[in-house]
Amino acid sequence: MDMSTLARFQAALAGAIMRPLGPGETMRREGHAVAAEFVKPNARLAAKDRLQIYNQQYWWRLLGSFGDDFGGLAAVLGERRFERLAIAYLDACGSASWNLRDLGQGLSAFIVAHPELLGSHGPLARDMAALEWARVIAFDAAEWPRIDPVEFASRRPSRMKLGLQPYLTLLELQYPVDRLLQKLKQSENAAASNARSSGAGSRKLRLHAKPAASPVHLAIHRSELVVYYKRLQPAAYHLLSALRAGETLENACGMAFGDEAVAADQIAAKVQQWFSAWTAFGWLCEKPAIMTKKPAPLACPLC
Amino acid sequence: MKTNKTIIASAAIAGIMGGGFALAKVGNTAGAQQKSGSAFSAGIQAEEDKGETHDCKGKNGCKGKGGCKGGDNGCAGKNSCKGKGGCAMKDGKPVHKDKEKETEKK
Repeated sequence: MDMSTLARFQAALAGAIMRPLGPGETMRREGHAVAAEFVKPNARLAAKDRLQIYNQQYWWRLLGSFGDDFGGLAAVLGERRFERLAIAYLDACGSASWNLRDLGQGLSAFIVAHPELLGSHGPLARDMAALEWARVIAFDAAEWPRIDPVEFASRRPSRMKLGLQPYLTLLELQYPVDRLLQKLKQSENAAASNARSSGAGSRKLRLHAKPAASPVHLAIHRSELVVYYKRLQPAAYHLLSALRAGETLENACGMAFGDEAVAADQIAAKVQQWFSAWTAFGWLCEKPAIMTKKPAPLACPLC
Repeated sequence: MKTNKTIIASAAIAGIMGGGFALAKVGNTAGAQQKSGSAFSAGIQAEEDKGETHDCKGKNGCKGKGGCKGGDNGCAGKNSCKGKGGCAMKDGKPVHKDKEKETEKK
């Protein structure tokens, strides 16, 4: 087999295997011709049935993985709507990485581009998707070297820049989705416990919420291998966001408090405590020289 | 009254120095042990308990959860996956290929 034949063979099989399933969770008709051309039948299975096994396991694996990562979103949308969204997203964006961890990386952009898939749950669903993707990042994104406080303090204040750890995500949200996810987890644990004792299944919890009275500011991070959702005061959120955007420490402080009519010494006491905590958490870091070039995202070209 | 960003930045530096001292004394656990709501509280735990195994062996369930319990690269409980793009990796190549193939055959 020459290279062009091999390439055509691979493309045809990949296309058939990675195509969404049709009615009854069977392979779509488009795959039948590929099966007839490339797959031999055996005594028990026709060619299309043999290829269908691969098509099904691929899709069920993706859907299962997606459902694991976005359980909160499923509880907001309901099972049917979530399944429709999952299929539409995976059909459009697919799995662009060898690592299933990256499967949901384009979801936030996708649902902004396709609000019709969220029905009346749009704003809550968008917040939930953002938080659940941040949780994935917090679990295993890189940790850069933490700053050396003594060395850092020796720099000129107007030139001091701080990096934030790649595993740390900052979110400004309309809904208290951190609390909703906690409620969902408790409900799932209780249901699992009841199922073990009674042997019966239980209905899945649906999540509903009203928007919070004021924006919810969250830092999603990890400490000692555990992922946390930490609420931030608005000024703390803006300060961290300015640092992440590359502002100097002085400018970030100025941007976070603006013209706030509170004495600087009162603010200073608060800021000292925040930075003390952020340093202890390990959030503040130096960007390694090797990482100054941003890697190309694996984003879906369609969304 | 306008705030003085230089005073605030100085307070931030003092905080960094103080946080570095706390880190040196108690390691990385300072945050999680503080009461909820304080600056030193790590926040709400995403999973119920730290003991959740994320047992991904043979399931490719590493995705974002790390902790390849029993895996060849021994990352269970060490979170050595973090920053390396998932625990099914070793020397830049996926591991457990044979186990995954077995699973797929089933």
